[in-house]
Amino acid sequence: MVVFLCAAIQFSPLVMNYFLGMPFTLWFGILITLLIIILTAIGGYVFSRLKSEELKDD
Amino acid sequence: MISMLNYLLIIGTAYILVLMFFSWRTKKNIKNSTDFMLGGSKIGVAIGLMTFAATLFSTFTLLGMPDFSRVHGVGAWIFLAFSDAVMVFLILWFGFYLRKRVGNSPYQGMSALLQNCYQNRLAGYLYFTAVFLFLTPYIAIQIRGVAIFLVSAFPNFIPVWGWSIGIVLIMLIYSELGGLKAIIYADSLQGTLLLIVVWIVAFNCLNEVGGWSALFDKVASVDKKLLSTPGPTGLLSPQFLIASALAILMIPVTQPQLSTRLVIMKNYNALKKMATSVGFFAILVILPTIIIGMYGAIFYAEVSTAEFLGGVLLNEQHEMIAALIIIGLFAAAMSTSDSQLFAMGNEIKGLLRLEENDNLRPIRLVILLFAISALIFSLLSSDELVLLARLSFSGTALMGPMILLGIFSQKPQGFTMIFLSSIGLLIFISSNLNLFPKEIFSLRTDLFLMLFLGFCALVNYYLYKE
Repeated sequence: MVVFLCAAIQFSPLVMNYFLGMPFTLWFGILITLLIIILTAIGGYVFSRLKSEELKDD
Repeated sequence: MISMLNYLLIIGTAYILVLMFFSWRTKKNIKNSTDFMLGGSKIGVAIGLMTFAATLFSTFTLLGMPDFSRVHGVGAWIFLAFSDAVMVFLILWFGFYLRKRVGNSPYQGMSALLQNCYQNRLAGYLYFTAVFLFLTPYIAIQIRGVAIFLVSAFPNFIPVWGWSIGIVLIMLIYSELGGLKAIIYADSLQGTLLLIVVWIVAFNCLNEVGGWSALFDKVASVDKKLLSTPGPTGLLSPQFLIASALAILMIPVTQPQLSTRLVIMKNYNALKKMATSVGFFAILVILPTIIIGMYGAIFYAEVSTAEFLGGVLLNEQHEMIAALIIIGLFAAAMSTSDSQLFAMGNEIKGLLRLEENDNLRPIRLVILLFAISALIFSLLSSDELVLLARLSFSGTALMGPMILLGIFSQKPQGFTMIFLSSIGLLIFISSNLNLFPKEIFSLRTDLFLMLFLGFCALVNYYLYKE
C-alpha cells in the first residue's frame, strides 16, 4: 500500500507539472525511488518473517 | 601513440579471452541439460545481483537513455529509475510465489509452468508467442544499436551487418559452450564494466560543464522544459509514464530471462537481498545516463543521435577510455541478448517436454535459430532504441495478468484469461501496425489493455475462489 501511495504521489498533478543543485522533478524522483528501495528492504524482512513456515523448504 | 583502434583490439581481445575462459571453466561441469540451461541453480547474492542487473540493463541504458534524456529531459528518471524501483518491490512478492510454484522440480520455463497452472497447453503457447514476437526485436535493436555506433566510430572499416554478425557469433560461442553458468559469470564482468564506463563518461561531462549545479543552470538556459515533465516534446505525460511503469513492473514476470534468474537463486533470503541491491544498482546506472543526457542537451542540442553519442562517448574521451566504452557497449548488448536467447531455448525445452538427460542438440539448434532471426531483424529494424525497447516491454507485459493469475491460484483458472490475453495481444499488435486506434476511451491502448486484463484477472480469481 505504501508503494502504491508513493506511485500516486509521483504521478499526481502536484509533482507532474532546487535541492542539492537539482530541479524539483529530479530530486523528488530520486527521493521517491530511494524510499521505495528502502521499503523493499524492509518489506523483504517482514515478508520472510510472515512466511517463515513456508520458507523452511526453500 | 596508440590509436583507438589499437586500444580496441588489445582490450577487445583480452575481453573475449576472459569470456572464453569462463566458458571453458563451466563446460567441464555440465553433466545434463538442466546444468546447461539453469547453471546449477544455486546463485548467491553478489553473482545474482550482477547477472540480474547485467541482463536488465542493456544498450538501451547506455546508448538509449542519454539520448532519451537529452531530448525529453529529467523526466527520463521517472520513466526508468522510478519504474525499476517499483519493479524490485514486486520481485519480493512475485519471486516468493514463483519459487513456491516451481518447488523442487527442475524449472522448465514459464511456458511449461503456465501449461501446468492452467492445465491447458494453449497458455504456454500463447506466452511463448508473445515472448518470441517481442523479445526478438529487443535482441535485434541491441545488436543494431551497437553496430550503428561502431560504424559511426570507424567509418569505412566494417559495415553494420559485419559488426552485427560478429556480436552474435561471440555471444553464441561462449553461451553454447558454457551454458547459463558461463553467461552468469560473463554478466558479472559485463555489469561491472557497464557501471565503470558510464560513470567515467558522466564524470568527464560534469568536469567539462563546471560541476553538478552548473549542469542544471546551463540546461535551464537552453530549455527550461527539460527540467520538468512532460519535457519539451510533451512525451512524458502521466499516462505515458504510468503505462511505462506498468510495462517495466511486469518485466521479471513476463520476460523469461529474468524470471529464470528469480528461480535459480540459492534461496529466498538471497533473492530478497538481491532485489534490494538491484534497486541501488539501478540508481547507480541510471543517474549517470541522465547527467550525460543533460550534457548533450547543452552541447549537442541540435545534432542527430549518432553525432551526439559519437561525440560524447568517443570523440571527447581519451583513446583508451573510448575503446573501453566500445567494449562496455559490446558487453551491455551481449549480456542481455545471450540471456534472452537462452531463456527462449529453455521455453522451447519446456514446451517440447525434453527430459533432464536428453540430448542438448535440439536446444542448441533452437538457440541458433533464434539468434539468426534476431540478426535478420537487426538488419531491418529502425534506430529508435528506447521506444522500440518500450514496445517490447509493453508487448510482453500484456501476458502479466495471465501469469500472475496462474501462479497465485491454487487451482486451474479456466480458459477465459487465456482467450482475453490473446485478444489483447492481437489488439496491441494491430494498434502498432496502425490497424487499430492508438487510444481507447482516451487512454493509450497499451495502458487500457493492461488495466483491463488486470481487472479481468482479479474478477476471474474471485469467481473461481467461490
